[in-house]
Amino acid sequence: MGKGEYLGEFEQIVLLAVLRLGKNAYGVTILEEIEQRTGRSVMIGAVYATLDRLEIKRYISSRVGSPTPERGGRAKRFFRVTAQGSVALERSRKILQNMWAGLNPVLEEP
Amino acid sequence: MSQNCDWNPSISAKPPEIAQRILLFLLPDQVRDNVTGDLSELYSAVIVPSCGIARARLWYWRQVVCSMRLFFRFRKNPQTALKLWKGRIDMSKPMRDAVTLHPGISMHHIPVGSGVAGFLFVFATVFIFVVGIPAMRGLLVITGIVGILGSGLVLSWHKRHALKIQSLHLHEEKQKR
Repeated sequence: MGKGEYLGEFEQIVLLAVLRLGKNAYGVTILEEIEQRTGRSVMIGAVYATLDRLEIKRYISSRVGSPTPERGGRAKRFFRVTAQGSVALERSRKILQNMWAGLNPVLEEP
Repeated sequence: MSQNCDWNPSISAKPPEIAQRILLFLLPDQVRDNVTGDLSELYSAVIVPSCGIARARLWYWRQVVCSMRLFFRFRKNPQTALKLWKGRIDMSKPMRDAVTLHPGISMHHIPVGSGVAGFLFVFATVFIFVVGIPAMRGLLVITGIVGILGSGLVLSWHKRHALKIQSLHLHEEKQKR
């Protein structure tokens, strides 16, 4: 597996947010989802940079929606996780599970 | 967060004009509408009602600064960026891996971190780009000269007058004695 195929922490978070939001995944909702679930403040620039990276890796795909007045007449870009993205997420989860396996007693030690 | 009483959606729900213009200038076509639209939506629907105008404006400016990474990511003309960076980064050092140029997209893996380091990196990068434009370079030199001359004048004036004031004080004390 190439180095570029691994998912970084923020890439995983963004992918999971897109997956959770389903058809309503666009910049604002992704940002809100991440902030709500992780409790950390996120910049829209960081989200779009990650979304772009994921799109280049073909882990997500996007389509442009219709413009709305509250956005100053600007269109939304909706994202969805591709089959490759789901595979990459599953792989990351397995890697983390393997790394965590058996460590609970160690962590519980004072 | 508490709701600010001076919020008037009809007047103030628009993001700061200058910040928006900077963003529109910086962002490439691919993401311009999406990012500015998302920020406008967040600003008017979430940030202003919850934080108030002043903090919302600060928030917007922070978003603009952070969005600079997108400018480098999607820069329309990769050759311009490459030209400006050429000679300023030692490509033989580990930075080589960080600044990887991809066809169509200028700088793909610029290590913009979070916090002070990230901000300094963005600041340094913008400075390099500004220096790369001849008119801006001239403006920087003129500003520097004016700054040095101005501060020199102020300091010499202060020194001269401070001495006078000091001597006046001494004179008064002598008279009192």
